Amino acid sequence: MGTGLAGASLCATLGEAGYQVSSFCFQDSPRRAHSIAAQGGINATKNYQNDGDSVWRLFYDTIKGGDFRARESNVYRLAELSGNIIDQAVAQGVPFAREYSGYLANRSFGGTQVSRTFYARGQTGQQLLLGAYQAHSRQLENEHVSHQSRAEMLELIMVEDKARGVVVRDLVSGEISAHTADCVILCTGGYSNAFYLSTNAKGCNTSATWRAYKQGAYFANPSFTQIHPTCVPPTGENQSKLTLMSESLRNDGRIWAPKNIEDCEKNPADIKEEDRDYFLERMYPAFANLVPRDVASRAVKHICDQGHGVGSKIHGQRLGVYLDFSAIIEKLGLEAVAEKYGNLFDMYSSITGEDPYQTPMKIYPAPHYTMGGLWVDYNLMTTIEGLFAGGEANFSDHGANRLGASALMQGLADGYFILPKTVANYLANSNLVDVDDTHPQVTQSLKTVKDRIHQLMNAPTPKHSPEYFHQKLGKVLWEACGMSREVDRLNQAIGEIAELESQFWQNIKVTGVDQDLNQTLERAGRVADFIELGKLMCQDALMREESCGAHARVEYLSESGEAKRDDDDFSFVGAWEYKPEQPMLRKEQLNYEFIEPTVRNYK
Amino acid sequence: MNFTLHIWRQKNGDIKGDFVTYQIDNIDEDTSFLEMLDQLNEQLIAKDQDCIVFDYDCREGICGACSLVINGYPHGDKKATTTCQLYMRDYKHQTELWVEPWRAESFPVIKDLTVDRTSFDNIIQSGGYVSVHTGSAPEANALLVDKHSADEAFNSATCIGCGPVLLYVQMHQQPCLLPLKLHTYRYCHKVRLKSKIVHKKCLIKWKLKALVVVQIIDIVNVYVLKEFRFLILPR
Repeated sequence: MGTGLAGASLCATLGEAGYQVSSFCFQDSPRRAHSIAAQGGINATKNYQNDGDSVWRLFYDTIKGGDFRARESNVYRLAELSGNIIDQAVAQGVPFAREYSGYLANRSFGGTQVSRTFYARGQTGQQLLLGAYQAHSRQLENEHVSHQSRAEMLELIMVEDKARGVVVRDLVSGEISAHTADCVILCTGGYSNAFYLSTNAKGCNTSATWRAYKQGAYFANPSFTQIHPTCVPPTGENQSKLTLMSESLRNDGRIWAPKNIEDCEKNPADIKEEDRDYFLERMYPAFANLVPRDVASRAVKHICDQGHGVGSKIHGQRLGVYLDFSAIIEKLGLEAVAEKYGNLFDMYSSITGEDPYQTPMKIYPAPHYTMGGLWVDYNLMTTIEGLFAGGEANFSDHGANRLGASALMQGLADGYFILPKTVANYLANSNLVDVDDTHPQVTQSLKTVKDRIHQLMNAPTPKHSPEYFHQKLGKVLWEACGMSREVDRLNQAIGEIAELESQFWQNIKVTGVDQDLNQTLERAGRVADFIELGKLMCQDALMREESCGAHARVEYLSESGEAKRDDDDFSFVGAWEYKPEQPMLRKEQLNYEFIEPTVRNYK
Repeated sequence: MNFTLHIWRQKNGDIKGDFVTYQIDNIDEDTSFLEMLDQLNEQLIAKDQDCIVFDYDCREGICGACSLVINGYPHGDKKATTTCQLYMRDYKHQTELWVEPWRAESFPVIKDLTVDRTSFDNIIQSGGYVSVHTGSAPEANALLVDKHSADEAFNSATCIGCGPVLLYVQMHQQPCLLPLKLHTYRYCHKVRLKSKIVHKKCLIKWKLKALVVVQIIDIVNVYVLKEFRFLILPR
């Protein structure tokens, strides 16, 4: 399920190995998956720059970046595989940036001090996805893989406690069909859209992973969600999504806010140099503008909360700080800067109507990536036998915070190199009974899906659209479970979400019919799942009485806003098992054999 | 801002469609075009009516899902952009907007403003890839590509596969604002042979009316797309 980087690369590799694979995606083509929007780059330990990079160093950086909440073994394997991904992509013709010599170019990227990031201008995700999509297409032509676009998974079929297929809705005809298989692999991405406004594509959803959770797959660290520091600030209340400006911009742009609150309304050109507070450089002199995302996001929020934000006021507050390129333009010239960031600047200017070559960009943090996801073992298998999860859909590698340029790396490592081996191993060692479409479990799963759709289409007192509920949920989650979390607010949010859930099933209004292309119905199903997930996110954030990485509990922050980890009590993965009354917490203790957890210090 | 919208409504590919007129008021100039349609859909839900179906996903101009012909222009009249990157301030001098789906034989209408673009996937599946097995690739820096070629290849590879090329070729018999650059070919070997297979197959199997003919230039042992020509072929 899902044909983004992880899914498409996995289908391609399994197809090459001779397996018969059926793939599905909800978009109109696998090439639209949101992996395409990744801008900055992909990390690999090639050490082409001879700046001391190594497998160990990437391993260490990733564990440290994740604030010591990731599993060592998985991360080490990821670092080992990183180089193979670049080889594979180059052989496919992915046009990475190159030096005049013809060799591959690298740049440094958020949270690291070596240049190990490979990039294709600001469109690295697009280029890597097209490579994987083409490899997937090759297997379609060879008939090892069959594919259905505009199809959404609505249930997992379980036979004898094993994952044996999926129920899918054809989004064009509305037809519900069952697809049985020897195993099921979810590469369905993350759940940032629970916040309503995020940098994810509008269609990104949790439905596949949530169906799996409700069938018994543990959901790990749901509250570990990353807020990306460099996004275009929201401008109004009818906004449908937020847009990311690549973190690579922080390499050359300097972040500042006015020192004096009365300057916040001024044109930035009229604010004198000495009245500008380059707060990241001031607070974190060693890493300055390149501190990890969670640190940068909290610093930006802190500055805006103190009233030093810029841009238009929303609910009485200015949500934005400046990202200024004037120094680098002066140093390298307009042309060089345009070559590096041209498409990002164009994008910014089209969204805001302002020219970032002339006026500093305005940025503000936005939900961007979810480190949490389905719990998987070293083989990327969930707690349900025969159900695997890859890419952002699993929790495996990023701990409590993901470093820049490592999502593409993880998706492709899972898809090209890890899952093809572990899935093959599972199939070779399993005794599977024959399951066809007439199996009672298949019939039952089909019925469950049809009943649910009937319920969505026929609420007792239809009143509000899915969008209405989604916006409400997003607001609660952003305030209670966003950049900072606090016990009372979380408790309150859990109550509010429970109330929202009952209102949803009472008042959801879906117009049109279900046997048709009906985007309102699609949205309603996704929002229903987001509501349930939102509650679990808050429960997880409440349970974790510490701050780590992106999870900032205000009770456990130092005076300067740094996360205060509690390794004695919380050095574990919080994996939740579905129970009809209350989810049950299962702990996977994290044992650090090779790296000693330290205080994450970027000063 | 207030607008009169004439929007193409069509139940499915078998039933004839028509323009339906809607009025939408109090739109903020920073609202995106698609957000304006979202607001219209919310109004339709409030009136118990079926929503207008249109394709979208990333809403940041990269996935290629959004389409729409606005006042006769695919992706609106702003150059080199996608519909999701249009903002209502771009329409501040207009009060009446006509919104239609892509109209091309290879993109049949599914419903309202949504069309079926499977033809693109079919083209890629017919040879639009490099035949390299996972794990068999040599060390990345063993294949040198001079910067100029790499940049050219990149320029050819940025196509987002949204579709107006066929539209433009059919409508105006000239290349479109966002030319379909067959990104699939990038710098790969034996591309010339592949491109021939693609064309033949497309014509027969998918009844494509217009095709893109690609001229390829040989640079050392790396092929790079250099120039694009658009050719109208009789069906």
